[in-house]
Amino acid sequence: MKKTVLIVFLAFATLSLFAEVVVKNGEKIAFLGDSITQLGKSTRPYMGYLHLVIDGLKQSGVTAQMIPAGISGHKSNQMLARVDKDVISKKPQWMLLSCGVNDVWHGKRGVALPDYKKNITAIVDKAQSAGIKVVIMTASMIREDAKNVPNTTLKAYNDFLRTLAKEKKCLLADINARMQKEVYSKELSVIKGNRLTYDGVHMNGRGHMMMASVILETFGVPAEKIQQFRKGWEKKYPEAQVSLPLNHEMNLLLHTKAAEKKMSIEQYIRSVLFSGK
Amino acid sequence: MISPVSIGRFMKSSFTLFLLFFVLCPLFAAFEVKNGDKIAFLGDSITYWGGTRSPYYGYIHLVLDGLKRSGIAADAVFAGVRGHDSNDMLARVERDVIRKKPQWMLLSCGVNDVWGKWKGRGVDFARYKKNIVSIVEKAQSAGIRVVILTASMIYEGAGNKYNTDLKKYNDFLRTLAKEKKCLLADINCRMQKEVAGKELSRGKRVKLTYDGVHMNGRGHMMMASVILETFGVPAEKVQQYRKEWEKSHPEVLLRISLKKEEYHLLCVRASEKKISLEQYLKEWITELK
Repeated sequence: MKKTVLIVFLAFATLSLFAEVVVKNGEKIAFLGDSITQLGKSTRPYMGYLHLVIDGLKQSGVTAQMIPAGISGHKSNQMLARVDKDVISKKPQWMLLSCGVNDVWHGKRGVALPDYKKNITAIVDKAQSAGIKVVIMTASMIREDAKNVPNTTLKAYNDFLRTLAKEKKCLLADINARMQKEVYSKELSVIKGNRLTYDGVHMNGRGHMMMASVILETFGVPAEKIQQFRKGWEKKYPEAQVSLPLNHEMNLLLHTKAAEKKMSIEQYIRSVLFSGK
Repeated sequence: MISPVSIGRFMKSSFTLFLLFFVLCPLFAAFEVKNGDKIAFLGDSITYWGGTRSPYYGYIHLVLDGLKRSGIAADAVFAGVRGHDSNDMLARVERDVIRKKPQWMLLSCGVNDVWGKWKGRGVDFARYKKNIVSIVEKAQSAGIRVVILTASMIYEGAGNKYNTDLKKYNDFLRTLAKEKKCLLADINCRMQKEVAGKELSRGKRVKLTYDGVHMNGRGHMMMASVILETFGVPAEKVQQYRKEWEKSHPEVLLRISLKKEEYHLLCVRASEKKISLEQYLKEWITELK
């Protein structure tokens, strides 16, 4: 019995040590997408998922470089139009494709499923024939309610992406599946409003961590490692922002109190808010 | 300057008269706006936000509130579009203002004409003058009375390159108002004065915007005050309204970033009280007093 445990333990330990991370040192990763990807390269107010992916790789011993290519509002037709300029000409080894939210969300001005399929296939073909390895990300939820109309429409788009990934032998990062799981998780049930986004669509700090976790797993970083990275991120980076409306009197009062303690007004509020009360 | 002594003498001799004047003055002040008038607000993003009530109570709503408190029920025509400069406003003055048949048009234009020049757009001075003159003439020939607002500051430093360039645009507006017999609401002048105030923090300037350009609660109150004064509401009355606005509407929104542990702790506290996080924070702030 003891022996078996030891062997199992050893096997487990070696497995995670030698687990193959598919991204190699010095490789470039392009992130083609919409506003979610555009915000993924910012560091404030939230640490974007692009940075977290690069950080997770680095903690796994792989130095990779990001090529940010997210533009707010963009749909599959616009990404097809710029994949050459924004991705292929930059000669990355990898392209992560995150597309679909605006195709569905924009309704009549969006892109219907048949055209979406054509556009996405063309984007993947172009990248692959330039020797770029493609990772397909499913589109994230449109407002944090799985049963609403944009999300039920989105389902067909994401199902297509899952099939296409198999057909074209692309890696698949199923963001949408994970997002649904986390949105309805017990841990987050205490949060009344949006949980992974700040407006129903764009990620808050936690949403970016969720996306980065899925991508790192897809790249072959072991799940336990990612859990560990994520704990570190949660200590370092904000998950959400709250806003306090202050009328003139309160603004004046807080400024005075903060100045007395030689703190900024934010530091002062934080010190009182979390003083163990 | 009137010396304190002469004021004293004057007050002694005609104290009753003075008091009477003071009491009756606000009552008989000649309001320019009449009951039932429609006021169109043509402008850019500042005017667009002036038409919203959240997160800040916009200046258009404050103007209507101030008129109402002065006994005048007026309606607003909202015609602020984000990013618009004088070219855009000239193109839509017919559709967005004249066709709605208002008695008044308030024109707030110039920030994007100047600011845009550093963003690959903008409208040069000669073109701006032409555009503004045509907008004013179009409105006036439709029988609409025009109030010209000077453009507010672009970032709250009076000496920066944007505000230096903006100065001639605003000087032109002041001259034009005289020429065309328009009322003038000199927002820029008042904004400079208030920004230089040091009421809130030791040595630090008072903020009227949340991003250097778009008004916070205090900025909207400043704009509404200038406009109401232009309409003939006595300054003391406007002061009084402003005190009430300051009590009931937020001046600033303080954004605080929270890490997981902090955020979840607050969510738990709120849910224990069976209220939303927003409500919890609002109550918490009030208790701080």
